[in-house]
Amino acid sequence: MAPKEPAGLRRSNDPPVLILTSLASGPKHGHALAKDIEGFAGVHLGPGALYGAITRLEERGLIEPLASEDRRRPYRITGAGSTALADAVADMRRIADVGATRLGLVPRVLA
Amino acid sequence: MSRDRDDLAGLLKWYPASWRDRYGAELVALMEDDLDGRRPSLRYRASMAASGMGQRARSAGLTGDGAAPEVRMHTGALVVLASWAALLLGGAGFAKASEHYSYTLGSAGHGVAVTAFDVVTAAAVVGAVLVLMGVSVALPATVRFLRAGGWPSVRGPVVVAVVMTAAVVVATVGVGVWAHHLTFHQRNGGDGGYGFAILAWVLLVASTVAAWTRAGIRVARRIDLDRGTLRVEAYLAVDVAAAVAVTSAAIGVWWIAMSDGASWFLAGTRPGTHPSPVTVQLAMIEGWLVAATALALYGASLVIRSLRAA
Repeated sequence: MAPKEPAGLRRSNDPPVLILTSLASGPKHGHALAKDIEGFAGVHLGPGALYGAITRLEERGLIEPLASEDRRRPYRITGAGSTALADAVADMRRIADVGATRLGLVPRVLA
Repeated sequence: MSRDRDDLAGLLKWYPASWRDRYGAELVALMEDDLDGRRPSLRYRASMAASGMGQRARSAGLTGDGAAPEVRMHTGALVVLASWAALLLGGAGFAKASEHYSYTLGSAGHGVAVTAFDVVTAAAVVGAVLVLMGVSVALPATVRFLRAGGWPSVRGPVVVAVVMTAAVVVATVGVGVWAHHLTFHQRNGGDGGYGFAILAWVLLVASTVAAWTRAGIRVARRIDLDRGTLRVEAYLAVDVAAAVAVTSAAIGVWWIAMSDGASWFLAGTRPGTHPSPVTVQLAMIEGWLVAATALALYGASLVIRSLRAA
């Protein structure tokens, strides 16, 4: 069975996955997002890549902008975004579990 | 600081206007934070340019699924139109390369070559008729657009195309008069000046085709097609893409068939010799046609996917 592709989210280092993961801890504007992502994933997202992903996520209703008088507009994750992230995380965990088991990093579960 | 901000705001020119209106100020703020007073490097600028162009492609429906199906359908049809223009240029090169090929009839493999040549001709005629039908279908919307004051927004490319067409007419007459005073040998490589003039004429014709394609796309992107008309254009575009693919494939078959029994014709040597049939000229033409076909098929795939989604 082909793995499902929740809301177009694919790999753990995809900018949309990284952004949703960052916003799961609360609303952030662009620079705060970039710093947070660099901190937990070691990935530096340039402004172009970051806003390209923000555009796609907003179009899909997975994040939404918050009102702001500053040019640094914050974004927050929506309910649909949380669901999509949960699906993506479950997929990544399933793959990680298989990899860990095959490498002998965790005890193999016997049926 | 203001000059720095202007410099960064200048990088937004790569993005589509509607995107700039929505995200531009935020992106400039992010770049200010990201650079922290430093000037953007060349690599940084290139990255922003690539992102902006990617966003343009996305907004136009060329990539991704962000644009509405009607927008992607329209864009797909225009991509096919561009591929048709590319085919015209490659086809003109093929017409020159295959000139007088029928003199070689009688050699092995010519039955296939003749059939392939006929298929090229038929597919090109069918494609041209389909393109003209597409233009006709869009004509009422174009007239409405011009009557509503749309001319200034398309004037530039159209005027350039008209001026270039006039230049082609003048150049064609000039080259024709010159050729009339030359011998067969001089017209076929024996006169350097004439050869240079022909090359310049070919470049002028190619540029004029490109100018008309640009003007056509500029107009087509601004006219408002109703749903029914758009679907007709979409089906025509798929058919034109098929004509482009068939024409390119048939030219490839002709080349192979001629390679088998008349490689001397392709290489421009004496009959009876057996040089390599792979000439730079034909390889460039075929490569160009393969690229045109890839473009046509990509446009057709955009159209077909958006027809299913609409």
